Amino acid sequence: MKCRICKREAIEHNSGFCLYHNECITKIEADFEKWQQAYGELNWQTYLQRLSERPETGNWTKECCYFLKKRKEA
Amino acid sequence: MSLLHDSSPYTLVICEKPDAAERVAEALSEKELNITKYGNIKIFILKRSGRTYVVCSAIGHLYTVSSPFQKRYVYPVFDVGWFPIHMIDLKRKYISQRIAIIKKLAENADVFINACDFDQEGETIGFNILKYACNEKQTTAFRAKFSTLTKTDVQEAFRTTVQGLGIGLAKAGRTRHIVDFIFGINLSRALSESFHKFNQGYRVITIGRVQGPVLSYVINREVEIRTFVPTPFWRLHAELAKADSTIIAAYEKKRVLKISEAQNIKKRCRGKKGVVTKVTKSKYNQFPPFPLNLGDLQKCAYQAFGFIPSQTLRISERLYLNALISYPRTSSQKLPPSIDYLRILKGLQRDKVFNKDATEVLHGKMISNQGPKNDPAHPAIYPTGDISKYVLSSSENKLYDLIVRRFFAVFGEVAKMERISVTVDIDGYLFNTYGKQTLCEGWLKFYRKYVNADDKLILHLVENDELSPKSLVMEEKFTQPPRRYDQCSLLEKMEQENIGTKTTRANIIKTLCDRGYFSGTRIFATDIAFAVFDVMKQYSPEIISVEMTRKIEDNLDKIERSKMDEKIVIHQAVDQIMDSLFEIKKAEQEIGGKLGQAVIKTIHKQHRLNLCPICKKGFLIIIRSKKTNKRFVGCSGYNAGCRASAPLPQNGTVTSTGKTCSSCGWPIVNIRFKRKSTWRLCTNTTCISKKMVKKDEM
Ligand SMILES: [Zn+2]
Repeated sequence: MKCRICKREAIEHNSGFCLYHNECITKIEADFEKWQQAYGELNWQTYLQRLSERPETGNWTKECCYFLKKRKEA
Repeated sequence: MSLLHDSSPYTLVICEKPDAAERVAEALSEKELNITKYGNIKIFILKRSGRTYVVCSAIGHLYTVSSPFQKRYVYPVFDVGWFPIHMIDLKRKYISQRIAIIKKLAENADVFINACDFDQEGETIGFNILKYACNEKQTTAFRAKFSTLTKTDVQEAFRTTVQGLGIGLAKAGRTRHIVDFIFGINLSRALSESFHKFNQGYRVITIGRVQGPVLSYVINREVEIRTFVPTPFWRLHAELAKADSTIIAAYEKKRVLKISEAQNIKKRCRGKKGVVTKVTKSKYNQFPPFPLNLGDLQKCAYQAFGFIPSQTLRISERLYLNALISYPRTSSQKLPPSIDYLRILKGLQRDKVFNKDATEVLHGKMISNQGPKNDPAHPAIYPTGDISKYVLSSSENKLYDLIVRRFFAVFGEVAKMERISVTVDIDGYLFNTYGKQTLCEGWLKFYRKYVNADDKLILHLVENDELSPKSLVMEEKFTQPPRRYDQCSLLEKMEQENIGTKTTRANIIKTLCDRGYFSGTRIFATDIAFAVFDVMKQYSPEIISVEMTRKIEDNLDKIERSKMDEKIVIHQAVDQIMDSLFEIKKAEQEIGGKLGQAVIKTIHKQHRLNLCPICKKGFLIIIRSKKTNKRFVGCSGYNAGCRASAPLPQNGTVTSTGKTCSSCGWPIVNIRFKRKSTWRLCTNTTCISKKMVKKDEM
């Protein structure tokens, strides 16, 4: 199975993502709570939007943000 | 037939480089020095205590490890031996004449002295010449050991030569070359062959014993950066005034994690006066630096002048050959009194640039600070106090200045500093500021140029002082990804992890850059680097592991101290390699595919500019026309109908700036010409703001 973002080999436990994108997704999900606490109110879509706009955000993390945003929209 | 007119036996001295040979000959010669030239090769003949000495030199290694099987794709290769370099590298034919001359000179010599640099590399060079060109004299030859090329040191070294001194070093050095060759040639051939079989064209894809772990440091850092998720926090600063002077104090919590909390503090504090609640003064010492070893010198030169480590090594070697500094390839941070501080300082006094400082050190206690690191072969790097025989280049001058000033600094007194911390209460919230000042300059007066030790002056404040509010700033900040390595911090990492040697580290990094694995001054890992790393991780994880290469370093150390037999280390390497090659061979097709894709991606990225401003789907790329062989900018969506294109200048190297023109949205590129001038240019020929601006002027 290939990664749904980059076509690298997906990791074994069938997440649909390669090692690197899987790591990004785990981090994005884990840090959502920190962002929510920081801003008080923040929904998932705005979070992904803001995260993808930050210059500090890693390129692979940004790719995951675009992917997650689209998935929600679709 | 002898090369010399006189047929009586003589002492043959072997040096590592021509400049060193000339220095050694000048130092030893009691009367005039006789120079004989064979083509470009100089031989020095001199008399000393009634005996004839002939001084000749190598130019670095004259022999190299190789395999008799030269076919590019054949592996495994375990049948290796030492060969004259000109037989392996046809571009270095000139080596054959040098070897022939040394062979001829060896015929009539009855005493041999190895005077190459005293370390693993130098010992290997000398050992090989004595073994292969001088008919097995490596065990009976004498060793002259010196750390500077000054007359006094060289003469002393020749008065106290020892037989068989560096054999352990030579064995370790030779084993290192063999092991590294076996790893490098086999893994690189296996990877290159996988690429070659399943892709068009040929590309050398290398990986080596030390390259592996270095690659893994950079990749791991790259992954951390690319997968980074920043989190927000807030910082608050208050600007407060007393009479006409102001201070800026920071809220005591460096990171406020909630915007509501930060806003609340801002609301409560804005417009309120501050009261100084605490002023503390603490004195502290700043101790003089340690004497420089090569790694330290490389770090300092990078910080001070931006020299990359391989450049610093090269420049310092020239200074050494010019007898201005001691041997630079050392790990020692110690300067023993035996180097004769007095003589050096008196020598430096003669230089008007250093006269004042040298005199001051001479009037002091003259006790050098010593660092923890030791090197049995050489002391730390120090100036010899000699005067240069030629005008130094600008970079030589810079490095020499750094070395001399550091030498003064290690003799300096402790610098005494004072830190003043002030706490201000604004409506129950505490804000801090601090200042520092030098009380006694000590060693800093010699070395201030190279350390960041400026005083930070602060308004004189006492407890209960009232400060009027000027402004209160709340800043949104984000956590930052780790910094990319640069050549210097990567070298530091290698040093910390004890990977490679002080001599080889800089070149290993350079090789990885040259191979297209790393790019930029802040090091980025390319797609090729990722592909090689992924392949190695899957099929031969030991090669990129630090443990394996460190274990080999430890074993080489044992060989040097005669605690281990070199055959064991070579056999272990062969076993290790066989396992890896077997795995790679089994997965050849998959590996070839992966490497091929990565190479294509990397090349594409090098040629890719920005999103096409016309179709907004494709990317503008640099294309070379097959018909005219001219380069131009075109859209990757050509097949989908986009005809966006623009001409490019045909000279110079074009690189993407990643930026687009603010007037028309077309990409801006840098065009670098020879003689270093760079132009920044919008690729759109019809752009309204069309102008070419020299980069320096922007
Ligand atoms: Zn992926």
